[in-house]
Amino acid sequence: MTCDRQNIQEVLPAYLAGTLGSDDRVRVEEHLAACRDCTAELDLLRMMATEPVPDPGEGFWEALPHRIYPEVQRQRRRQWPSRLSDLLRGANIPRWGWAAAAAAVILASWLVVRPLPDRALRAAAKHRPAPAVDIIQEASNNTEIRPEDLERLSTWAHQELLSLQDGLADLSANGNGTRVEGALNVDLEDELASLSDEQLETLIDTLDRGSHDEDTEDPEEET
Amino acid sequence: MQNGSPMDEDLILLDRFADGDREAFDELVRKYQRPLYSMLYRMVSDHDDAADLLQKTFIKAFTGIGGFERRSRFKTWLYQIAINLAKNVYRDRSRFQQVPLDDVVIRRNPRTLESLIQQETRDRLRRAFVDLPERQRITVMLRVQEQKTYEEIARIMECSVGTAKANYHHGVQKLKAKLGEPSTDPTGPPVNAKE
Repeated sequence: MTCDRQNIQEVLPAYLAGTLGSDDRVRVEEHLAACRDCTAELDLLRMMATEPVPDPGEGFWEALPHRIYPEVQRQRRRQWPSRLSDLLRGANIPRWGWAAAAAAVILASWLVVRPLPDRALRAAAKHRPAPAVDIIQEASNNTEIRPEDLERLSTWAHQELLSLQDGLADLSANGNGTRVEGALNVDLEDELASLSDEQLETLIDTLDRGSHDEDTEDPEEET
Repeated sequence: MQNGSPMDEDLILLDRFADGDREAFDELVRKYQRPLYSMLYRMVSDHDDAADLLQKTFIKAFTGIGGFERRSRFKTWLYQIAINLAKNVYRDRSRFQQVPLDDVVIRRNPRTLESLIQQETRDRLRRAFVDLPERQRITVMLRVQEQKTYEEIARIMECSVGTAKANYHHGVQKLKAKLGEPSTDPTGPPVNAKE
């Protein structure tokens, strides 16, 4: 006959493992003495519990952490880029923050660029699209940079680089240069490598003057 | 938080591992390698598969440590990973594999009638066990062979305690019913078998 004492059957594994409290153990033993179905179930559980599991040996256990660790390290290193992006996503950086970072990168790149040849400077000055020295001066004079200033600065620096590129392209078109592509990366960088603060000021003045000259002397060239 | 200290110990070791402490890693692996291997072996009945799954379990756990929510135990999380990995291997199995150790035991002992009957009963139990629905089989294994409480099983299997108890109960009742049936296995050892 099938026993329906589910409350007894539920605790049979604990009884078998010897983890049952004394009151429960007595209750189970009293039931087992009178129930063949639950006794058969206990025998079945005992057979399962004593199913043999081989021991791979101490050598296996000792070596396991050493076998796993290099692979764990390798996979963790591979995860770093995605972890960084997760971190940045989690940081919830505002738009102005990204703009500031972009502007900082562009500005830093611009500051390490080397001196331009005079002709390139003049040509670049002619093509400079927007007077922006005031932004630089404003930014450098203030200890706290406002987000909107950084956005303006980012835009200005980008335009500045484009205009320098145009200037070099013009030089080449006038028959004076043989390399236009990569000029900004190679010739310009060579020339501007040792730009000091003083030279930077001079460059800014030159650019600014060029812009004013352009406005007053040659307005058609804008088109 | 359950039982306090073991969980805290694991979390401290995990923090140390995250900080690059190799000894913390070794300690965690050594703490859980044997119980995990035992469970995996019971699921796949093969040393090579169990050893392979054991390595994969630890690698997955330690490389995905960011996904471990510290509300549960690290041990529970390890069991969840191991069971999910073993399920795939188990599902790929198209046939029942016998545990070879029993054959060794039988060969060492005289082939008494009692030992042969016991051997046949064990074989029938294993077949019946393999035929159980997956969740019932894993629940019975965790309760009887790994001696997990219903609460632990519920956490590992991500179900309620009531569901864990129901899976255990139905699983065991099916095993009992199968063993109560007359043997139909033509490959089973005949009672009058000779050496």
